[in-house]
This record gives sequence, structure tokens and C-alpha cells, in this order.
Amino acid sequence: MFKRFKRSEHKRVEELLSAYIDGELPIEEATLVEKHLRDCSACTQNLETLRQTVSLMQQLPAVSPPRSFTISHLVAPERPWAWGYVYLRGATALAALLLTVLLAGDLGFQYLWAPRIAAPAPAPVEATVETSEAEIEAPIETPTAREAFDLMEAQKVEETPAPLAEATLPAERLGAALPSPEPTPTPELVAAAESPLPLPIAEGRAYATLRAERALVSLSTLRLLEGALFGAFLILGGATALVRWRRERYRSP
Amino acid sequence: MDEATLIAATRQGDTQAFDQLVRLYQGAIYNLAYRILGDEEAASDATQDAFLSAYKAIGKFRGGSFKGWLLRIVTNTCYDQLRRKKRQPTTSLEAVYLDSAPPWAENEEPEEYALRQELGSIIQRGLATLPPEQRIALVLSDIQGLSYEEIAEVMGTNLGTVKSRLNRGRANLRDYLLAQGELLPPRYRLKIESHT
Repeated sequence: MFKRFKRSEHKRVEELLSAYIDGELPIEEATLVEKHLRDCSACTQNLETLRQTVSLMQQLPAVSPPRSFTISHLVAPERPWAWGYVYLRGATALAALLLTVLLAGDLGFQYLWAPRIAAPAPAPVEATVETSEAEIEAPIETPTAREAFDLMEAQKVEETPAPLAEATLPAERLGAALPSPEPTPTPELVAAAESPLPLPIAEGRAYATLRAERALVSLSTLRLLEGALFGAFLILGGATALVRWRRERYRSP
Repeated sequence: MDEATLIAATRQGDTQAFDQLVRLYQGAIYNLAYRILGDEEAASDATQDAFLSAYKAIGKFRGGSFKGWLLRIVTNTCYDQLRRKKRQPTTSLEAVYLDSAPPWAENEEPEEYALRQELGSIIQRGLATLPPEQRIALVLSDIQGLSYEEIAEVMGTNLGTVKSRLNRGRANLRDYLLAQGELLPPRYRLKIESHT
């Protein structure tokens, strides 16, 4: 029984030796350690080698930092409007992106889709119309597309002042300079031309006009949207540039 | 400018003021990172990350010891690095001591200096064998000279845990050094005297 007590005390003292070296033990535990050390050579030796270890650690040479870790060149100064700048920049980029997508869609509509909706009108003329005749008839209807196109161009000139031209307009201008492509005999067109049930010509034309008008309505909505986006882009871009200028001025005192 | 003024200026977004704080403490912070990670490059990364985090979180500093706060941040950064990269502390045998005239060597003979460098790399290898918690506690206590309370604060734990980590860490390092035996320069060898 006595021996077991001694062993548990030995174990306990072993765990306290490190704190004993640092003088971090409460008085009763320190007394216990000291009392145990008088009888236990193993613990005394233990204490001695631990002390030497601590002493070696304390003699360890300090290493010099290989470089400086200053941060001013890594961070922009935090200002109340620093986050505003991030949001502004993001919003400007978003407006520019949307505008580009819209303009691209617009161009696609003008050159790929618009000629097609104007073209089907001549198709119902005769059930036996050959593909080549459809090609001949087509130019009669193209003015509708042309008008739409001209109107679009007229609006565009009003809505898009010079600055944006840098980013998006050159392609469009290039497109505008090219002649409007003639409608080509697409598969649907050929199918319509060969249809055994010809519609009356007037009805066909009315249908074509309706489609063209609808297209014009959605086109003008698109134009309005493009104009609004461009306005937003200009305002946001201006604000971003202004905040950026203030930031730069602040950074270089 | 004193520390409190520099901290106040940093809160206002003055990076130059924070740079002054960096210059004051980068030695201690880098040394801690170096002893925990055992690698110059990793220690540099951790030190830089820690100062950046400290700058961004300066609003959360609630007074007390600024150095302790920094030590806590770099300790966490090192923990993260150890966890993320599962990086085993690597000990380059040619541990780099870059200063040609380090402050501790002012009155030291070149031979003594060389011996201490040798001791440094052996201890560094010994530290690398310890679990990170024991290693960090040991470095904070015996190299940085922090009290148990400060270590508990830095490591986010209680006094009892600090005591047991230190005790086990020192015992493990002692065993490692004993096992090195004659690899240690004679004057640094652990002497086992028999007390009868």
C-alpha cells in the first residue's frame, strides 16, 4: 500500500517538475516536490536534465528575419470609401458587360434574324415557285428590313456618343458600312416556297408586316435599354474614376 | 511615437504607423514562426501573413499586450500552415543566420558563435520531433520568455494545459538531446550526475 502511494506520488511529481523549474507551482505542490526530491534520485536527475534543457533553449541564438515584413506597399489604405470604390468598379464593369451583350445581340438580330422575318412574305406567291424566284422576290420585301435597320441606325447615332465607341462601336460601324446582306434561301424559305397550300399574297404580306412591326417594337425597347445602360455606364465610370483619383491623392501624401 | 499612438494611427488607416510596429516586433514574430515551422521560407510567409491579418484586424485589438496579440496571430497562422500543407517541419542543416554581426555575438568569439549555431540546429531538429502544441508552448516559454498566463492566452487554452504541454515537451526534447549524446558540442551535453 505504501509503495503504491509512493509510485503515484513519483508520477505526480514527474508531471510537476517543469512548472517547478519555472516557479509556477502553488506552495503546497512545491513543498511536495521538494520533499519527494530528497528521497528520489531519479526525479532529482530528471529535474537536473530538464533544467539543462531549458537552459539550452534559452541560449538558442535568435535568427534574423531575412527581410522586412512591412505592409504599406501591400495594402491600400482603408478609407470609408474604399469599399464604395470596389462596388462602383464592379457596377461599372457589370454595366459595360451588359451593354456589350445587348449590342452583340442587337447586331446579331440585325444581320441574322431581321432579314429572315422580312423574307418569307414573297414565299406564298406560287406553290411552284422555284428557289431562284424566291431570291428574285426577296428584294421587294427587304426595304422593310432596311427601314428598320435605318431607323435603328438613326437611333443609335443619337444614343451612343463617342466615348463608348472605343469599346464597342467599331465593330458595329464596320457592320453598318457593309451592305445589308441579301436574304439567302434558307431551308424554311425553300420549304415555304414549295408549300402546296399558298396563302393569299395580301395576307402573307400583312403577316410579314406585323412581324416586322413587332420586331421594331421590341427593337425600340432594346434601344431604350441600351441607352439607359450606356448612361449608367458613363455615370458609374465617372464616379469610379473620381474615387480612384481621390485614393491616389491620399496614398501619395 | 509610442506603441499606443502607433496603434491608434493604424486604426485610422495609417499604414506607415503600422510599419513602425512591424519593425518593432518582426524579429520576435519571425523567430517564433521559424522555431515552429523550422523553415525560413515558410516562416517568412507566416510572418507576412500574420502582420497582414493583424493590420486588417487592428479594430479587434482590445488593448493589453500588443506583442502578445501579435504572437497569438502568428501562432494561429503557423497552426493553419501546418494543418493546410501538412507540412512536416523541415530543418535545414544549414539553418540560416543572416546577420553578419548578430546582436548576441558582440562579445562572442567566432568559435563560440559557431558552437551556438550547431546547438541551434540540433535543438531545431529536436523541436521538429515534437507535436505542434508542445513545440509552440516550449518556444513561447523558453525562447520568447512568456509567462504561463501569457502562453495560455496566446494558445487560447488554460493554465493546466500549458503546464502539461510544457512538461511533456521539455521531457521529450530532453530525451532527444540525451539521445544525441556526443553529437552535441561537449559544453552543451546534458550531464547526468548521480545523486545518491
